[in-house]
Amino acid sequence: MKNTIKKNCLFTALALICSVAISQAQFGSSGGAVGIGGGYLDKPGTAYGFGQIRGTIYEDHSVAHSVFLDILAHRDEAILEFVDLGGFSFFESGDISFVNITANYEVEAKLSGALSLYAGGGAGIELVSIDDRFDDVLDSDSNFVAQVFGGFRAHFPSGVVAQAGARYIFRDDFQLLGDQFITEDSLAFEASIGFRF
Amino acid sequence: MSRPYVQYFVRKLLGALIGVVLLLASCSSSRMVDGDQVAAPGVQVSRTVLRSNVLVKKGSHLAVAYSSGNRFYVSKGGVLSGFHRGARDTTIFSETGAHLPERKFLSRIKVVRVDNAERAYQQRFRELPPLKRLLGGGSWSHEDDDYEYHDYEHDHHEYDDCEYDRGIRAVSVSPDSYRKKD
Repeated sequence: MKNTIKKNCLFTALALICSVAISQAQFGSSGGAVGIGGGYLDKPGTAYGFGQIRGTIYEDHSVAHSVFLDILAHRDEAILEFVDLGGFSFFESGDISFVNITANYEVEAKLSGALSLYAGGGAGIELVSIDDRFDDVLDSDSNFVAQVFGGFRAHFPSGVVAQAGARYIFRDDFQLLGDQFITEDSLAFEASIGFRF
Repeated sequence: MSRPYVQYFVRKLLGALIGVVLLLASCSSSRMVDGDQVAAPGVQVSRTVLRSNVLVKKGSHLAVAYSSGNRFYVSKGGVLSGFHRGARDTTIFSETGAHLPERKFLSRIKVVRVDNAERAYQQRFRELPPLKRLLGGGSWSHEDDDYEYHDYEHDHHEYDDCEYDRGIRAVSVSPDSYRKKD
């Protein structure tokens, strides 16, 4: 019950920040941006992909404040144990997918020329699901996730934005098929490309 | 022909012969590829095991140097050792009480605890049909001889996400990169 309330609060906060980000992106004078990228999580040592949609709240010659929605995903292979009617076990391969949906705040300090430095943080939920080799979902879980990040960004005249940075992700343990699994906080390195509008 | 020339040719011939023998010896050293095998009792040495399923029963000791694409099933009292040349895409299904390689060699190997390694080996080719097909009405049973239709949903009122309607249940998961909490 407590867990459900926590998750509902998170969803509400997430929805609120997303709508602010999207409305800023659509109607704000400072505009917004979309971007996609990829990186490497040091724990558990795997690649991930992510996408972002952002809206700028305030911008002047030296600084910009933005909120954005970030969706980050990675997969892990797994062995699934099935038990038949006779009580006998057999094993198949499966996949666990992790999708982090976070609402974030970011401050960007403009350096000389097109280069700027950015840093920020956010929080949201991590959706975890296990599926079999036919991609049928067998079980799922959702947990709290938070992150802080920073890096360098380059703005090109055509509206294209490229950035490289790192993020530190705080993750809760997850539960699948009755077992709890340990997740460790992870450092991630990434690069992405986007478009300002 | 003068004596130095004869000695020269004999030396070259001997060298070539030794090379051929060494080459043949390396090729014929114990190597298992695409096999399904029950390790014989006693100590067995397999330098290279590729894409195979191997059952190591009680009283058998299998030493492997390099493993790729394999599934090892180790019973209680069975010994699986080695892996000092490396391992990739390898899973060990192990009963409690089985002897496994040193922990430092297991970092790149998936280890799954099983109640009965021999049964797991026997069921190694067993595969589930897709869930969507099962839930579509049960007509699959005419095509798949391996599975009997069972109207589980009518017999059991409880039904959850991880349960197929014929009663086959997913009971546990062993991720590659995440440890189970004790």
